[in-house]
Amino acid sequence: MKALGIEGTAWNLSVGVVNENKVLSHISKPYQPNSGGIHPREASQHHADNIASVIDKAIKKAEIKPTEIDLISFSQGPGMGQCLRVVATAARTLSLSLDIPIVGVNHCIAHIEVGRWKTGCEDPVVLYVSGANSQVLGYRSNRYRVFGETLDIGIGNALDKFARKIDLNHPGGPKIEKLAEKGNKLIELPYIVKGMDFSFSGLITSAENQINKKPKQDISYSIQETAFAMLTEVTERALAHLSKNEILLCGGVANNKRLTNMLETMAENRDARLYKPKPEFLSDNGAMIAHTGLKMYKSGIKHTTNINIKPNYRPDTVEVRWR
Amino acid sequence: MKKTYIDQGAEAQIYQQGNKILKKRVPKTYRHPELDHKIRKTRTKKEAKITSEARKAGIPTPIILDIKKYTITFEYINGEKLKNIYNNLTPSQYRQIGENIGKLHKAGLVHGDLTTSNMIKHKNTIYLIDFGLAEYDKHIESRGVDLHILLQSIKATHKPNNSIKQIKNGYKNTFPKHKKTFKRLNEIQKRGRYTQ
Repeated sequence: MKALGIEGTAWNLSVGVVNENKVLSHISKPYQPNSGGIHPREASQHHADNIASVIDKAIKKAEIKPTEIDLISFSQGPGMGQCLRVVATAARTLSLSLDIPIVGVNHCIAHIEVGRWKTGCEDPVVLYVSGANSQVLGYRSNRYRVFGETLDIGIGNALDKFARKIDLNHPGGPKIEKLAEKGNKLIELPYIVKGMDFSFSGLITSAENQINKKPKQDISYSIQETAFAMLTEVTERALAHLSKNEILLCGGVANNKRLTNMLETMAENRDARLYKPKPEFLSDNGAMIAHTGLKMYKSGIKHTTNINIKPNYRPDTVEVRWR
Repeated sequence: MKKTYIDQGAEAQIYQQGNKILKKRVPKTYRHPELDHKIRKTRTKKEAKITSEARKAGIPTPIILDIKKYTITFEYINGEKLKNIYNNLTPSQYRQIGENIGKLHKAGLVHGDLTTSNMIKHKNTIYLIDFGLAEYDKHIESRGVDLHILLQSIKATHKPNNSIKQIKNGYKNTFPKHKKTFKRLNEIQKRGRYTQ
């Protein structure tokens, strides 16, 4: 079967075409704000302006005819309502015009499934870290359970927020990483872990208060050291708790070298193994939506074109029938 | 006196030395050394403090004999972990579990890791151990989560039979605001989170 998947929960509009064995094509067109962070209306306008041409390019690059597509899947949530609506409308339209089935996919689960597919890990504890999301998940009795998560903002947004304060434009995360490589003095920032959950807003506020007192590279270094240690600690606790020995790191922030290195060290000390897919499958991408949609459809999950978006779609509400 | 290694959690190593238990928080090489020392030190202190406060609130907990930088020495409670004998307890012992939690919540504390592995039966008394994740916390949500985690762990590992009803009765006996906790507990159960 050939499946086309559309991803558009936030800033990246992306379309992928896959079959059971490989990714046939994968085209992205990210929205880049002129200044500041992601403006939901502008992002959705960007998606609406570009979606037809991105779908067209993905089909051409896969070297297939539109009539050869067997399934449409799209990111149903969680994400920005206005962006989700554009994607859902395009998916419904394709489903009706090509007369093929449609499947709505949970964006978090798509990150996990593409990670399992591309790295070959079996049953990992998942650390999913992106702009809006930061969660530790694990599979248990037909669901991806959330073992711990951020109590306020995602780690990516936390880094972006600080970056904007020191006049670095979006996306700020990679620029903070560069700065942090030059820092070496640890500034004390709030380390907030509550059981299995964690929180970043106090840490960022505290870091912002240091801007005129301490070198930027040291503040960036300290944000990374503190926030990533929190994430690593909770991941380790989930591993111990579930007696698992695989870790899957996914989401855009997984590109960060220091976070990867911390998790690797922790994994080594516990005789566990860290898995991380290639960068193109770490950040939001259409291939992960297509792949997960295909898995869902083959396990007997069928939706209709009345399907609605779910801006607050929790991964632990999805019954996993394909494992 | 010889130390025997008993257990390794996510954070600490546990040793037994005669009638003492040593809990040592080990370094985590993934974090910055300064941060690592600070975390281990403050958590060791906090765990000791909350264990003592729980004892003052009338909950049977091991007596703390010594506290060093990263190590707490507890008296050894010579008994059975509830995990291994759960289905053979008497109704009044199930009630005791709930009474302990009620007293804890009444004292403005939550345990954070209530499982049948963290309870020991010595003679006719149920002891509560391992306050490593305990917090000073008066939020209804935290109290609900505290109970929810326990019930999840009981359902996952044992036959609950009538025990949960007795646990709830015990909780009612010692915690005046039990209705609020139970209401929130039902909401949390519907959310399907915090699974064990």
